[in-house]
Amino acid sequence: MSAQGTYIHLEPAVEPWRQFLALMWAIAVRELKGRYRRSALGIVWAVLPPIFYAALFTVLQGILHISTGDVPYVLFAYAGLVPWAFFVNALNRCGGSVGANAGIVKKVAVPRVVFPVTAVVTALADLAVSGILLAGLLAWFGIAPGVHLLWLGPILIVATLFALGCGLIVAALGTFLQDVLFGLPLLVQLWMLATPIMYPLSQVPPSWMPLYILNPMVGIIEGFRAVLIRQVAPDMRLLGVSMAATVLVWMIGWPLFKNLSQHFADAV
Amino acid sequence: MSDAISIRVEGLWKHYGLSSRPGLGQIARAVLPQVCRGPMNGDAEFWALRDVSFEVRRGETVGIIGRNGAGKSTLLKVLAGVTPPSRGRVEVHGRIFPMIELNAGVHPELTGRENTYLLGAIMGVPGEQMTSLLPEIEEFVELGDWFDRPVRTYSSGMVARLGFGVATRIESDILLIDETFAVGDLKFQNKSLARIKELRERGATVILVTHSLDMLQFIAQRGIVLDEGAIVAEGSALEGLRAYEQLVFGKERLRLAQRGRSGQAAKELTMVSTRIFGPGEETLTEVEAGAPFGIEIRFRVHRLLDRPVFSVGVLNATGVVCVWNVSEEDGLQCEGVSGAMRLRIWYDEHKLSKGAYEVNFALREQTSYETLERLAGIASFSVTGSGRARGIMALPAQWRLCREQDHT
Repeated sequence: MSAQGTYIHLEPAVEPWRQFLALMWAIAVRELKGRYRRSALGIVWAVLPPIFYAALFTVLQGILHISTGDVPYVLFAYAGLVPWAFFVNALNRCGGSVGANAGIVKKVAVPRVVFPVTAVVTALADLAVSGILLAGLLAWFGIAPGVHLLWLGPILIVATLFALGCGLIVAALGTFLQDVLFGLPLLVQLWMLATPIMYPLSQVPPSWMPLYILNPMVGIIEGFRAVLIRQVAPDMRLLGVSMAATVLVWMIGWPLFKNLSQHFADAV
Repeated sequence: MSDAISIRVEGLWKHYGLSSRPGLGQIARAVLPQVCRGPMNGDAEFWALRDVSFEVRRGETVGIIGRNGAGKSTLLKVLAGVTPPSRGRVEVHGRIFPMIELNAGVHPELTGRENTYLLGAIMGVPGEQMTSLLPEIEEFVELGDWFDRPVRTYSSGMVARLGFGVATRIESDILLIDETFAVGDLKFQNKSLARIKELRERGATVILVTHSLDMLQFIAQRGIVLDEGAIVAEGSALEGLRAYEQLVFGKERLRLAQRGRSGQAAKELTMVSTRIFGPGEETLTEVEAGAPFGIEIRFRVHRLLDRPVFSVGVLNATGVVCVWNVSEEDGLQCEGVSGAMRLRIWYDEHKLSKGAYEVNFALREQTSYETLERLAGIASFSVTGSGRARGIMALPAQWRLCREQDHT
């Protein structure tokens, strides 16, 4: 006797990829329009967190005397905060994505993965807006784009895939155990302190380094700064850790999400 | 010919193993079912569906009836592919359109028009196709200017209209409909019915879950009666209806019998027994349509009642008071009542339509006109009869059909 029943749905194929994209687009539009329609600041809320933290860190830097060499601290902090804010935003959106779409989850058999994917895509949209601001800041400080800017694409892909992999785990577990969603902000705060955002990587004690660079966000943040500010190729050793971590979270996240997502309708 | 099969369900069992608050163990089981085997703990052994098997052919309209919690909605969810079957096999051929509550994914901040596109995308209809369907939908839902206002300002009936309008315009092979006709005004209900019939004529299979027996009789060809997760009856819509009525009845009788045993004690009086009886004093559980019957109530009064007035009411299954007689108005004068009493009310004829009924009883003091006791559901009975006439009362009527020129 099998523990699991069988559900077979035979339907003439109708471009599943197109349907998936259309659904993702519709949910993303609904999310963005719905979220900001009754707020005065609207889309500004999407770019506010990194600005807020950059301002906060700049004040703290005056007290803590963090040295960033010849790079202006505001630029240093903001360039690290933009990709970080994207990561946090993606995780938060993934965590709530299934619950926010309970109406759909409970009634229509759409591919469940559309919810975290859409969450990450909307986070990318926010990142794009923040990115424009960052470009303006770079121009203000007289940093012209160089050839190493091409690295931005691969780094963004790694960042997106890593965020989605983590997001799958958060969405799968968080839908069943709210504790995961409650604990997420605390974990994220801790993680931020363990990532070179507020301070440069060079300030990390050498004895901590072997452990410290295992943080996959180090490679992504440092990569961003390298290609945008310092105009050099990213440190492949650090980015390699990020890529390995991405593969690992997907190896855990994908089967976890696939199995648990069948039962989403019973949980939300 | 297997091609004509639309839905095939074989030995379907369903329990909500991963409930809203699962432990880590349950999550582990779901992730690695082959590793973590073992008995489910506690209430997880509640089966929402037990060994359900049936087949639906293309173009059929099947009504699923049952009391609350019978597993109707669970069955629809499994058919829609929203929740996995625990055991057994479910096969669905063709494009499904689940209209379970109809408002899946509607966002309150978006307008009706925006939500129409959203619903379309959820159902897998591309935007350009939605654009071509839009005028039709807009006309069907009859929202007028409201179509461009946020859905949060809509009444529940308007939301349902929107959902239904979108749902029925999208071509699909199988429609799953759950309790959707309770909303909207009569005109919209009729429009929706007409639309369902139209879809059916085009070959769509319709699975309808409803509480409304009228609805079932009106559109379904077959009825499946679910009770406690199992199919207890299956057949034509009319057979399904009868089975359902009997089921509701049996449960009701059981409930009353249990209550009768404990004795319904109130402040002013204690009920001893209540029965429905016929012309030959025989106790009845069913009353023939139009036939005479009486209600006998035996009770014990706790104190001396100066001038009591009794009321007896008959309510139908939906709680409508069909008749309410007052002893004083019918000419019964009584004074100084105490101790064990037997009260009888007799109806020489009645115009109750077929269905299940319940008896309510009230006691008042005439001088003060204060209600001393009010007892609901002291007895129940059914009115039986052949024919398909419906309504809350049965009025025998004479019909005549004649040619216009013959009319004088």
